[in-house]
Amino acid sequence: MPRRSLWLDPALVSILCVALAPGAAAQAGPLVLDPGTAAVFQRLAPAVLRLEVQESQSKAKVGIGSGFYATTDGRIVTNYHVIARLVHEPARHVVRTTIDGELRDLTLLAIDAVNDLAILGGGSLTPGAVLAPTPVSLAKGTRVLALGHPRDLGLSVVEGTHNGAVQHAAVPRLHYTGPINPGMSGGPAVTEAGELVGVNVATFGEEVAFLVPSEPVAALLERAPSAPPPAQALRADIANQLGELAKARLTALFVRDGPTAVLDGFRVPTGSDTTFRCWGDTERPTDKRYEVLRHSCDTDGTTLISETLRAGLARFEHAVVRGALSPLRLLTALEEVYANQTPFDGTAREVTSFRCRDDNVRATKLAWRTRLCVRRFRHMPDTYEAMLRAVAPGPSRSGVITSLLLSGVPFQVIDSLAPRYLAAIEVAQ
Amino acid sequence: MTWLELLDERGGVIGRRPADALPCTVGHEAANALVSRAPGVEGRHAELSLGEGGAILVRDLGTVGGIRLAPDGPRLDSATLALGHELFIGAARLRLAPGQPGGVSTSGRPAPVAALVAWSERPGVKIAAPLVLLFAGTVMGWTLSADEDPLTAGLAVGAAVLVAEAMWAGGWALVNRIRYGQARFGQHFAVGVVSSAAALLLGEAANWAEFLKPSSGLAAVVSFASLTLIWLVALRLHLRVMVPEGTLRGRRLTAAFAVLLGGCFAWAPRLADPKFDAQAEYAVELKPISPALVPALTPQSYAEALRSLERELLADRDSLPGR
Repeated sequence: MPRRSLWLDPALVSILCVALAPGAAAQAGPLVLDPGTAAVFQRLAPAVLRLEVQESQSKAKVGIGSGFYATTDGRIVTNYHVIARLVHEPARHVVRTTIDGELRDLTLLAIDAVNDLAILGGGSLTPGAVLAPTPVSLAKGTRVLALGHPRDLGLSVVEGTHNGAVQHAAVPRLHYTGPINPGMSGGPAVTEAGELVGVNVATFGEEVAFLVPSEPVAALLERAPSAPPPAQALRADIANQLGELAKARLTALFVRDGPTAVLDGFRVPTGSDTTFRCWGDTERPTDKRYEVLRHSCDTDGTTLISETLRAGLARFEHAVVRGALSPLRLLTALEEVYANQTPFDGTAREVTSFRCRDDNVRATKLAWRTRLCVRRFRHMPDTYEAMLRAVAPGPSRSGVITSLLLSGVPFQVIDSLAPRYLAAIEVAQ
Repeated sequence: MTWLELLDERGGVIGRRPADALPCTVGHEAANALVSRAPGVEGRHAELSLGEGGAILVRDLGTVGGIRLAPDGPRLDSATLALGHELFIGAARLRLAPGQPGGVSTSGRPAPVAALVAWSERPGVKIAAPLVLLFAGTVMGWTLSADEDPLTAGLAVGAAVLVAEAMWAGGWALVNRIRYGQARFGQHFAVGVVSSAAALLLGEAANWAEFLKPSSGLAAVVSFASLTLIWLVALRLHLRVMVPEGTLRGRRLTAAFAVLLGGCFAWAPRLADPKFDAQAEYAVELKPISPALVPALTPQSYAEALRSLERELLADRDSLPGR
């Protein structure tokens, strides 16, 4: 799946840290612009931790992030993407935190990959302060402070604005306008009163940032076990979470009377307002006798599985090709528009190769040529990625090409959605 | 049946012809029935005709070297060739050999391959072949192009097939030149056009099979059969141009080689690892087909294919070391 947002990538941070000479980050004494901010910072600083993921043998730092105490018994909340290596390569990695200048090992208790959360414990930690997730209701424009370790430069606080829940998102996210930087991942965002608003998770362009709201944090704390589960169970947990998300978001797709759009004589399914973000455009290649009308929808954002693999839930695109073309030339035009390259992530260890099948099927007066390709996420049970691409000449000098990508979904979702998707495309009356 | 055989200076047979297909000429020009570029062989060197009592009369056509009974023998204006005997024409040798079964069609009609090769010797054919190819390629490209300017696209296709055919014929001509001292480019080009036409027709049959029964046993079998036939036609034609009269052994070898090539070209893409790690490439070949001939979509349309895909995917275990 194409990357949609810039995650607060711990690996990136580690690279940036290498570029910074020790001492270059030496700073003058703090300039207090707002006594309220300074007070919140002083009060909550003992709750916020610097997390370091190390390679077990060499003790080399492979990534850093932030976390915070959420319970009095020392449970730490952070982002899943900060500690993802512990799930996929548990023998080779360890997560540690610095307390009183001393590195202490932590253990991974629970993860919520879909919401990008993780709970750490261990190390007989005694919190200096605790930020428990409690429901808060904020108006847009409320000042929110984000804490963390930006670019490993030490604990910092930044000021920003709460801008409500993100629309068209498959998982709940809060829109935060403020300068969140790599390394602050997993740190808390709080009100001026010191209440937890959410967890720093991602940025997207200039000062556009996202927080995980406190509800899934509370839910994960609730179900986190006291002893660390094996990595295999954690990976199965990711598969379950993705499966639940897919069933919740996708099973109602492409049903009769679902949302549709009309594209030059073809009625095609489009996305619902709440889950999908849709785009449209018309291409007119100057050297061709046809033009291409495009309509695409995707679930905004992807679920990070590992640093090299993401699951994007669903994306679909329709392209209607039309022009003054003979039937044979229309077939050529469709072949030209159909041919493309789709980038996928994942390494050979994480995913199998794609297996494909070609078919001819007729649905609602359209004779489709289809290619269905599926691959499996190797270490997560019943988790697949599927691409259905289909092309059909229409009744009059136009044809339609469509593609449906399902990513990180159970097999049964592919089975039920593939035929329903094709059946939902028809010649408009 | 007896055969007239022309041997090069190293003793290799470079031409064969039924002994009763007379009169004919021998020389280094391609227009001769028996052609040799061996030293001392002139353009039209000698004429062979049926003499009295079934003997073969060899008559010099005014050359410097004439005809000799031995390499250092006296120059003769004419001589009679008998079974088991040899005559020297320059450094080349002409002999009368006993027939081999199946060497050439004995039905009285020339074999199709031999007839095509004889046809390709005509000067008009050699000139027309590139023009016909350019025209056919251009028409095909123009018919199928969705470009704003289909004529230019068609000409590009015509030029491309012309260049491809010239390279193919050039390869054969090079081998011909090295082995037998004469390129015969024009003839290779002409028979190349014929084999290309066969490739187009048979290839299209395989494309239809692949389109109607994708990834099935039928598509594989039709691909194999058509590719073998294409190679058989191409090899037979070009080899016959190289050695105008092929032998039975040559035929069997050619057929075996065609089967091998057909198998490789048909199955290699099917056996290739379908893996694409970072990039999935999509291409499709569409055919004009009536929707009535296509099976209707049902909720179970993909069920069987998906079960089969799932089995394959589950069987693909992680065999990678060092996790």
